[in-house]
Amino acid sequence: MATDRVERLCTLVMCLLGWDRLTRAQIAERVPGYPTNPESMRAQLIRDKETLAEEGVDVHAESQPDGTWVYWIDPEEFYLPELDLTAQEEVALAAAAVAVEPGNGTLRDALLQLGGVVTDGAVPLRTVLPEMGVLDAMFDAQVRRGPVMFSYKGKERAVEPWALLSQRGWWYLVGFERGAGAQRSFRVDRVEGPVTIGTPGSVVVPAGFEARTAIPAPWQLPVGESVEAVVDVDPAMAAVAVGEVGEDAVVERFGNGSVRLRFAVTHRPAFRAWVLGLLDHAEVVGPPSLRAEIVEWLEAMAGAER
Amino acid sequence: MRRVLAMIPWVVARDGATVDEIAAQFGTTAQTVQRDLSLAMCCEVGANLDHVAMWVDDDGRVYAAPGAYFDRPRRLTPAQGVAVLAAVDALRQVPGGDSSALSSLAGKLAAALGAASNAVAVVLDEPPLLEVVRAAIERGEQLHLDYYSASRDELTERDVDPLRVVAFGNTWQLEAWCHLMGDRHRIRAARLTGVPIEHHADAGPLEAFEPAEHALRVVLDLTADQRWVAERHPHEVLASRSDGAMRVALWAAGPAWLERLLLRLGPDAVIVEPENVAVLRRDAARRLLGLYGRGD
Repeated sequence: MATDRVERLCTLVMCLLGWDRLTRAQIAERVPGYPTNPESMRAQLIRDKETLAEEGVDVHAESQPDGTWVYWIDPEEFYLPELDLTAQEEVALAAAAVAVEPGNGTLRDALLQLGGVVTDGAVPLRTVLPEMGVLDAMFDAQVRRGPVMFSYKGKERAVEPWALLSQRGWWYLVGFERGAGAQRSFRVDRVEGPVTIGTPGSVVVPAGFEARTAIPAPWQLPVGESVEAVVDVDPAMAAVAVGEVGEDAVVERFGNGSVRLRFAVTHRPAFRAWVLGLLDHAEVVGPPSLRAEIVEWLEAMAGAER
Repeated sequence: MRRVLAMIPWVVARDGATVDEIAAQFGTTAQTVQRDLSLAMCCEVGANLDHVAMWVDDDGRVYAAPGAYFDRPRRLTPAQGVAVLAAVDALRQVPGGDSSALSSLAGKLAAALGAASNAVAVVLDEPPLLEVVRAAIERGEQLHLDYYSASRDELTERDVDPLRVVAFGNTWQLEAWCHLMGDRHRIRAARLTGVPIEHHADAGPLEAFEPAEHALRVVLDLTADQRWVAERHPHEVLASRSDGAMRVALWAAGPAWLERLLLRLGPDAVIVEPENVAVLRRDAARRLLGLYGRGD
């Protein structure tokens, strides 16, 4: 952006923040750089208004009874509400900026905007979050308490956004899908095309909703009937398997270090993928139907030459 | 424009920052900072109001008069807002942080952004040895560890210089220099067991991680339902059909990695090349069937 343009826009923002409401004539008087011809001035002001909107600054306009228009910026909208951070909180914010990479450079910008200091020190533990994609539009919908509309797996969806969750390498939108009448989660990277926001203020997140546990393990997605899987895991992979299904699933620990696990399975393909991932360190002990499915799956490959 | 609007409140909040400090923070040159500030200083806003009162002294320090414009931070954009909330929530999951400050910070940020307190959440895995490894890195100590190698399906004992632990895809991974292999490795922290800390090590400079060069190239025909493979692993699409089926090339990290992938894909995945991979899949399936009393 050319220097004189930046100067004009900055001055315009200050003026519109500083006075209640200004007419075009008053703006032309106070902000240097506008054309003297009223029609050209009007065209330039409209372009500037659009530029500011792209920067996230909304300039409001309203026609008066006498036919003139007045313009203003609402300070409540422009400024961040007072954060009033303690010294410890400021340190924590700076630490977050160094230790977490949210998939693009926005965090650094945001921290500077909040008045923080960015240090590029080495940290022993660093978190790289998945690519954000259309997460900004989803978050905007959350803030506005409006539903998000998008296309997903070839279907148009309207979802009341309850939470954005980063888990197992992906960002998920968790919310209430109006068409399905039920809670659903959607991979944000699989959203097709643009995201639009519906009527603001029409979404209420249910009390007691817990984002962190909103997405079950893949084998517990509500796809089919629930069965209690029983799996034996040998000593080499026992700790890894327990870490993945949870300590609650352990029914027995054997002397040699192997474990017997029992847990609910409602999505059999995901269970199969999990248990096969453990190769010959894990055996499905029961129930017989689940065990037979694994055997059948393996037999289809045991005879195949390609 | 965005930089100027961000810079002014930052400078006002930090009376006496030098031009060089400001340039370093905003990733720009001292010259650009001078220009941006002079721009802000000469934004005359009419006779009735003070203009932004800022000046630079002989030492290059910048001062602002009370009541200057833009003395408070602007609202964050949605992208900035979600990034900040995600970063703070991620840090809350990491051992060693100031959890009470992080949790009150998260609440204040969410409120200021107009979001619910649990609007954005990050779930990271919790390897039992994460804290031990972190401490070793901070003290520059070498680790002697048992590690389950997923690509070869074997337990190995190694001496490593831990360099850093990075959560990629919500999973903690240790980057370390391995003395046994004589190269840099990335190890899933959840697969570490027994880590007695030994003597001091010189970790050396950090370099970008590079994947193994000896990886085997495998070409597979996948159905539309098997596209998850392409989402999970680095690949090259060789051909794709309108029904979603595609031919991809993947780089196998090791035989066990490949066995695991092929067994999960099942009989519908067609192995195009190399031919001996079909034998590897068949033998792996037979080996696992042995567990079920169906082996040969």
